[in-house]
Amino acid sequence: MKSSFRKRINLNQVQPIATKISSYTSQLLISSGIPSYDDLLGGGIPVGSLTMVKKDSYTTYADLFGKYFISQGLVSNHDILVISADNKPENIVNNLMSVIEGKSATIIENEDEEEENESNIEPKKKGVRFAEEEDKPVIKKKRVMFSDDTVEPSTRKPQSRKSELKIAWRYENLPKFNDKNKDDFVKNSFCSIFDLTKTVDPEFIKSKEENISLVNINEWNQDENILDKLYKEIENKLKSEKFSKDNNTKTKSVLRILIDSFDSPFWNLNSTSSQKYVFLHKLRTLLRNSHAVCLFTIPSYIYNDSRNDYVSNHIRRLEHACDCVIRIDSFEGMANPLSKDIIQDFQGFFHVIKLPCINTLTSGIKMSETTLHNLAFKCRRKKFCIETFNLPPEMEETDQREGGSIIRSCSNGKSKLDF
Amino acid sequence: MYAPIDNVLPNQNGKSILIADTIFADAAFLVNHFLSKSIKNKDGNVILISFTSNYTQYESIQKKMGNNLKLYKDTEKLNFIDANLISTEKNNISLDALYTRIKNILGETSFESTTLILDDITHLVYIEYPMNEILDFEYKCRNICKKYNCDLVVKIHKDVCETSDADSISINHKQLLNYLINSYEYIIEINELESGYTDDIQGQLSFARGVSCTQYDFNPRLYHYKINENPAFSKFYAKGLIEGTI
Repeated sequence: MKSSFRKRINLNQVQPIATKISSYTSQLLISSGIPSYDDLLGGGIPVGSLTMVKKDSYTTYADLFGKYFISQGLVSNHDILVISADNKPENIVNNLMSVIEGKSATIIENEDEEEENESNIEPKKKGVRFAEEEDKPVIKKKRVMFSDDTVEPSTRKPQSRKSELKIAWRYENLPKFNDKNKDDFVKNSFCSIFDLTKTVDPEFIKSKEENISLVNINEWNQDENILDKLYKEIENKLKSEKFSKDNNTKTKSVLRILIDSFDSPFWNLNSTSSQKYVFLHKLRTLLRNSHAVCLFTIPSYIYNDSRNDYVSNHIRRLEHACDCVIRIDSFEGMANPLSKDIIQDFQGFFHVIKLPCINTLTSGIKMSETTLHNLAFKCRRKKFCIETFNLPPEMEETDQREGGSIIRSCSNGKSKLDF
Repeated sequence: MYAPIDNVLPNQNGKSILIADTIFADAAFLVNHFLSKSIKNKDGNVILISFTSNYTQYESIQKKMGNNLKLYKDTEKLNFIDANLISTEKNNISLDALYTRIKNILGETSFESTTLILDDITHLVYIEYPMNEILDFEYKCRNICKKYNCDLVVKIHKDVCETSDADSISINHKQLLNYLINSYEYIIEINELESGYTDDIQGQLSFARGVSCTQYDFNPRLYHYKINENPAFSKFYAKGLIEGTI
């Protein structure tokens, strides 16, 4: 019996950027960009897995899910491959949401600095303009002179106060909190925060250009076997040293593949159901042997795969070929509209059909079975989160409650002391 | 190795076992149970044909079950055949070639009891491998196992809908499933819990007597189970019996 509590980790192995090792399954994980989804999977999406996201029928929350996946990849310096037939992949990349924290924290700061610089430049320009009039600069100078005498002492005071602490003086000698150190930490942060109200800065996308590859299926010759060609394309991409599992250099990275609306009518209709299954199966084998993760959305509703228990045989077969299957099911277009209170809190249900079990028998989730099958999602301005679905407390104002005060007082209401 | 499963099935060579699972209740743990059992057995060896998983998957699961597959790989004890790349095209590995390999291994082996595991025969149906060849392969495997007194373990997915939109693959799938259920000695079906989700039970496991079963001391059972990586922490509750609950 081994009695060591230490986990054996191969120290020679270099971990790719922005990844962590699952404490439960010792699998390499990356973030999906959605913290609550990462938690649900037990830390993050396992590297080498294939995820199927079944699309919602009247809304586009599944697309948002895919966007989170890519945005997080860009922030954590991963490589990205976007494959689409319905939309131009350029559009998907250019319409990503903007980043609030994470690596862009430095960018935001740079922007602020630039703005400051700009604001510094502007007065100078004004100064140049006003320089034609000779009197005003003199007055300004005088003002400056005055300020030197009078204003400065007052500004100095708070500065001296800062260094001489009156209370908690023990902490005086401690190093001050430095934002620059924080940036170094945040740079390779695992999961960032995104702002859904803004689109991403085009400069940011430009700076990442070499990490992004796009494949537009619509431009391909529809006569050839698209799935075979796509498989070869991905295979070529993964041949790069960067994504190899044996590579131990620092350039190690993870390739994130997003396939938008796989198997929609825009994909070649000539390919049979079994070809699609074979494609996914081969893709999964490929992913397992390299540092890559694939997430694809699928409009399963076109196969009548809807809310009722019915599942199309074709979709079920594809599900068997994937590691992780989830379904996003928005409240929109439900047969019986839900009450306002529920719609206010949540936007739809989040169904978990299959969880990734790579190299294990059980997935690393800590969540109990009952909560796992009882999830809903909400989408706010700065977050998309998955929570346990709860019915809100009943807040309806009934007649009884309104009349409650009268009953409680037991009086005619003439005097407060009259019982 | 999960002890309760062993208690139900008779410990005798030459069994044929069919494992039927769904997407919600995966039977990977049963395949690993039979793999682990034959690795642990001194006189046993195993032929594992995998159509859907890779070798690393088995290796890391078996490691947690206390078996080091590295020691046995490419020896007579563990014959791992990776058939992930099987396809309908002629230039790749075919079922005929697979069968010849099984036959050779069985003919030469010095072990007393061999277990042949086909991990997911459904894959063959899904890739539209000709149905007659699948049936032929399965039949030949079953016969040769009878001949050499080996155990045969076959896994199949049973979630196929009987709806109006059934396509040719799902019709074939359904037929194969029904045919196998009627030909094997022991059928293990895995389902979600019929009463809904609970925290301490993952699903239910039912052992049924097949048509060709001649064992009289076999008692069909229904177990509720919760699987843990470590077999010692997995729980099996026999439905209606006190077994497992204390």
